[in-house]
Formats: sequence, structure tokens, C-alpha cells
Amino acid sequence: MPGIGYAQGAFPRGGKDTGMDDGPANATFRHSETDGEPVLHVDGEIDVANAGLFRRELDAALARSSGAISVDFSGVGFIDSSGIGVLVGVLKAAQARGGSVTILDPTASSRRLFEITGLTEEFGLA
Amino acid sequence: MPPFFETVDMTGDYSATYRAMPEVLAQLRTDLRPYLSEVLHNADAEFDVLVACSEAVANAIEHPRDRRDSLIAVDAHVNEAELVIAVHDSGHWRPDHTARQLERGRGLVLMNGLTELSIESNDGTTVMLRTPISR
Repeated sequence: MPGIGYAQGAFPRGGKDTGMDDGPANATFRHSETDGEPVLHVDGEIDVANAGLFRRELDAALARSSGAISVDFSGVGFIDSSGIGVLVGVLKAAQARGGSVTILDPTASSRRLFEITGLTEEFGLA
Repeated sequence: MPPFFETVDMTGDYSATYRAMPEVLAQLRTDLRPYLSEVLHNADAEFDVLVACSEAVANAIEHPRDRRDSLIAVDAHVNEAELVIAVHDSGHWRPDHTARQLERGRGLVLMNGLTELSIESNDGTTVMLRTPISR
């Protein structure tokens, strides 16, 4: 295998300004229903750049529900604390209506983030 | 380049600077993934380090000293059986309003849970993330 040294420029070197090159985190959202309850399917990556959009999609699902919604996490390749913060905010809104937010089918990696932040029970992952 | 960064060691195997804006996080991950894959050979470990590093950069984006001219430097190298990533920014972490503080607290919990975390205040702030390399 190749060595671990990348001094030959295979990766960005100091001074390269990558600030404006690429767009923000990319995720697509799709709404469906199971047993009359809204399900938000998330595909892609969630970070600070699209956490606001994630919140709006969750709020839209919650607005159509009687309080309980599910979020299909099987297609989430990346999420950070801003995305988790959004989920906690929506959970509080749902709970205020006597409802819940359930995370469905997270990857082992996503699940680990909920474990580390102590949120598995809150999202029905325990 | 602001003076702070002239004091930063940017001689690692992976070395890059980013503007302090949320839009760079996706680019950071795209840049880092091949390097982490090469070093760690383990999808779970790669994900963990990617999250921790993204959190460190996201934190740095939130508290630049001067927004007009803020850069974040990411420098990674392998030291024996350990991957060491340093995230430097020229700002200082400030106490924050409650909601953001909670979220930032969760970011720190993630960094600390996914890697060995240390934070140094110097002319700016340096977050060090260490993770063992298993072969």
C-alpha cells in the first residue's frame, strides 16, 4: 500500500483557500406516512449549513401530525451537534403536544452519536 | 495570512486552511475523507474522526476574532500509532447564550467521546484531536 505521507500534494496543502469552492452540506428530504403518522426521510449530510432547512422539514412533518413523527435515518451519512440540536428542539415541541420523535434505522455510526450524547431513549433508540 | 497562522505548524500529512463560514464544512469532509480512509482503514473510526473534526471547525466558525478575515487551519499527522489532528483558529471561545451553549456543549461531548480531546488557548484556540490507529 502507499505510505502514509501525503507531502506530494495528493491532499490540500497549507494556504489553499477552499472557502467558496463547494456548496453547503447536501441532503434531500422526503415526506411519507406510516399508519397515519408522518415520516421524514433524510438522505445525505446534516451540518450547520443546512440545519435550518432540516428544522423546517421536521416542523412541517410535526405540523401534519397529531404530535408523533418518525425520522428515517437510514440514509444519513453525516450529522453533527447542530443537527442533533435541531432534533432535540423538535422533540421538545412534540413532547409539549404529548407526542414524540422516533429515529428509524440509523447507521451504526449515527447511533453512536446518540449514545455518546445520551439521547437514545429520547428518540426511541434504546 | 493573519499573523497568528504564521506561528502555526502546518507541516502535517494533511494540511489545509478554510474560511470561517458554515459552507466550508462539506468541503472539509470531502477533503478529509480520503486521507482518513488511507490512515485509519476503518469506516467507523473514519466517521468518528470526521464528526469530531467537523465539530472542531464548526466551533471555530462560530467565534472568529474578526469575521472579515478569519481562517481556520487543519493540520493532521500520524505520530507512531496515533492520528493527531490540530484545528487552529485565531478567535477565542466566548461564553454564549444558553441555547447555543447547550449545542456547543453537545459538540464538545461528541469531540471528547469520539477522540481524545484537548484544547489550548494561545494567540487563538487550538483543538487537538487524537485517535489510535489500529492495524
